[in-house]
Amino acid sequence: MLVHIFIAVMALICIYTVRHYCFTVNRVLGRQRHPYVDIETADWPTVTVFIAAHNEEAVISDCMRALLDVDYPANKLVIVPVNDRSTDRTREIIDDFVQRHPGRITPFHRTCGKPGKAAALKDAMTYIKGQVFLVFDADYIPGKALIRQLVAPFFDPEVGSVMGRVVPINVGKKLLTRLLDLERSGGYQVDQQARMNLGLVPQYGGTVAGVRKSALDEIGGWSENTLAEDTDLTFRLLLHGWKTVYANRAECYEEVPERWPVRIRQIMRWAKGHNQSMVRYTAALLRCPHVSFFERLDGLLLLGVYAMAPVLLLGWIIAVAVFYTGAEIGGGVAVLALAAFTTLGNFAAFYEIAAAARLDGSRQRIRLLPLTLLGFTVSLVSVSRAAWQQLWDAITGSDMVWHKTERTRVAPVALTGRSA
Amino acid sequence: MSFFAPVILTAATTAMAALPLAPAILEFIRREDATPLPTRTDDGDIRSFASSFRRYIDPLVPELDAAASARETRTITMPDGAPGLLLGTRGACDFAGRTVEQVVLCTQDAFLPPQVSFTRDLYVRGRLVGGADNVLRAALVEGDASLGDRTTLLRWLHAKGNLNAGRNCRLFGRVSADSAIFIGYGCRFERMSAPAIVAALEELPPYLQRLQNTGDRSIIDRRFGRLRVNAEVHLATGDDVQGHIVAQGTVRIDEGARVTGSIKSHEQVRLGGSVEVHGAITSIGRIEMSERCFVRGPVLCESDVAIGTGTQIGSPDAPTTVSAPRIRIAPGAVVYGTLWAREAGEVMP
Repeated sequence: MLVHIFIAVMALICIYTVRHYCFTVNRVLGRQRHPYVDIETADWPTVTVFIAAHNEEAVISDCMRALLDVDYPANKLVIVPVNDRSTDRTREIIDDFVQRHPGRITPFHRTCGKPGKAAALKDAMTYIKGQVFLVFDADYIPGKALIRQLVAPFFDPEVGSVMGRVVPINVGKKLLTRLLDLERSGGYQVDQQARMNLGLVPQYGGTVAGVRKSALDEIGGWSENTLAEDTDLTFRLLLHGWKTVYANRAECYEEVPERWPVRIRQIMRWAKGHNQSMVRYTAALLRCPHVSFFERLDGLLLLGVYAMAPVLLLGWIIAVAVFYTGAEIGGGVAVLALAAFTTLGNFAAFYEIAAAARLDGSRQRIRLLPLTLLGFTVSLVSVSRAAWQQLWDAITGSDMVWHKTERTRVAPVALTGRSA
Repeated sequence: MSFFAPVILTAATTAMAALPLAPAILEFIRREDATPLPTRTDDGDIRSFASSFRRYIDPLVPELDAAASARETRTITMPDGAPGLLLGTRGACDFAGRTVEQVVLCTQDAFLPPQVSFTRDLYVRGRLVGGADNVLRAALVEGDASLGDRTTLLRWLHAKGNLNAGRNCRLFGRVSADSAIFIGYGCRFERMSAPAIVAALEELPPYLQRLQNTGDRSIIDRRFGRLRVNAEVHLATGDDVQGHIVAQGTVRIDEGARVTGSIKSHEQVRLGGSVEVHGAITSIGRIEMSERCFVRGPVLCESDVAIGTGTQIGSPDAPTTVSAPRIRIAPGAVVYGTLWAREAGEVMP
């Protein structure tokens, strides 16, 4: 029995290993798809940009200032800061911007209601008209061409949502921020872009992202009962025949967590939300007639990605148990699988990071790669803990709690940039 | 056994184990590459090279004025130390058959003799009339620009007025004009942008208003639904679809049919004569447009685009973009906006 479970775990790990390798090889050697990046002139649609803000006094000024400076027809750009029950100076800062830029900003102050970004956005969107909705978290700093880059894919009538690339701005602060910088590179530069190249399921990420109003209406709007409204939206759109596309050159700065407890809370929230989506949409995805075989496969693997942490831990525990019980694990294939599991398999994600650093033209930061093992271990334990808590909550009927990510910025940022 | 033996063994083992981490620890301590990755900060404007060149020559404006008044030719040094040549007279430049290795600044109209090669940038304050077989690295022209047959442009050209490119020119890089681009038979191009781009005609043909009642209708918005088909789509002559079409197979539209919405195909899109698409066309495979078609929104293709004679893409009040690896455009076609051939664009000879 123990051996059979172990073999099942190894098989799962091997599947994800192959997935990581496919993405990395595709990104380094394959044909790259950026079908919408060249739209320079067009009859641009009216766009509403929502800035999700809950106690964001440290960062919201930078975000609004950058949005007021973007290269998009001003008469077609509606900026909506969604002040969600803030108790700090967020409201005051927003109102000051409204006064100084009359007609450009439509504030939405929310003083009560269900907590969480999805619930706040849902409330705000009730009052706003528009064809395309873009969403930024308040700590994001969009560049001049970003709005056009994010809107361009919506000329394709199959596109329901679009996701841009997130680039950490506070990289040099701590070891954690440097590790997260590498992790983000791997996730966007390789993972998301490879999915885009291969026509799979790029993920809507909830910020630096956009959604078509009509698609949102068709799927029933934002789901409030989730901790990861982005994953939830990705799969509901997919199940209704809408595509999510990834725009790798639509880059935007964000502030990543600088303290480990903040990071742990963040990743636990992501894990719980993602696992919620796994439970909700796995069966529907298997039955869905609109998706191709490879989209279905990639979608299933994407849904299961946070469930793999406890599976991996389980595999390690069983491996030790198998060793000490002296259980027979079979012939050469099993030994080979075990070898793959304990060596290459566990490191496949690091190849993604290495490839991403190369594609980004980074030189020295790739040297930190061995230290990402630290971040990996913390994530492994945190995500496993989240899964266990989630299971326990389900048994006891407890509600899941939404935790806001703490900001640490204290002064406006100075940006670095490059030409096209 | 020596006391030091286990100590040395332990130290050596620890050192060997730590060795792979040494570069990481050194980088963490030295922080040599700890700045945020640079993101794109430009606005993506095709004229950005021309704008930066204008900034580059701005300090020389008094000298340009003086040379123009004195009608003399001067050798100058550019702000970055590059050699420059300032031409104060109007008319034919004495460059015949030469390779010019200076940055050339013409204070008035310039007429280039044939077979001149410029290895540095060219600035013309008035009108530029190029000779046949010229090679230009880059040029900023404050008036109309006319390139002779078989001219080669290596990097970029911007004309404040019209740009006329003769037959069989090769226009690499970015080409833009504030008024219109007239591009001759057999020309090859990469990226062009102007209010109107006209293939192999000497005048801009009148814009044909195809549908009167779409003024306030956005090509993004879904007013009439979305037709999603897991096979080919065929619209017959006279069909009028109000809504978007998303097809896994080829979309074939016969002569005179109309789509008030956008089209997406995972294979090919083939438009018959006089087909109207009041939206965008996106296709993984080839897009073929026959004669006199009209497409209001962007045309995006991951393969080849063929634009037929008399076809109009975009409109004067709503310019748009055609983007594909390879674009072939027939004489008489007009694109209002941007033509971007990532690999090769060509006006059919």
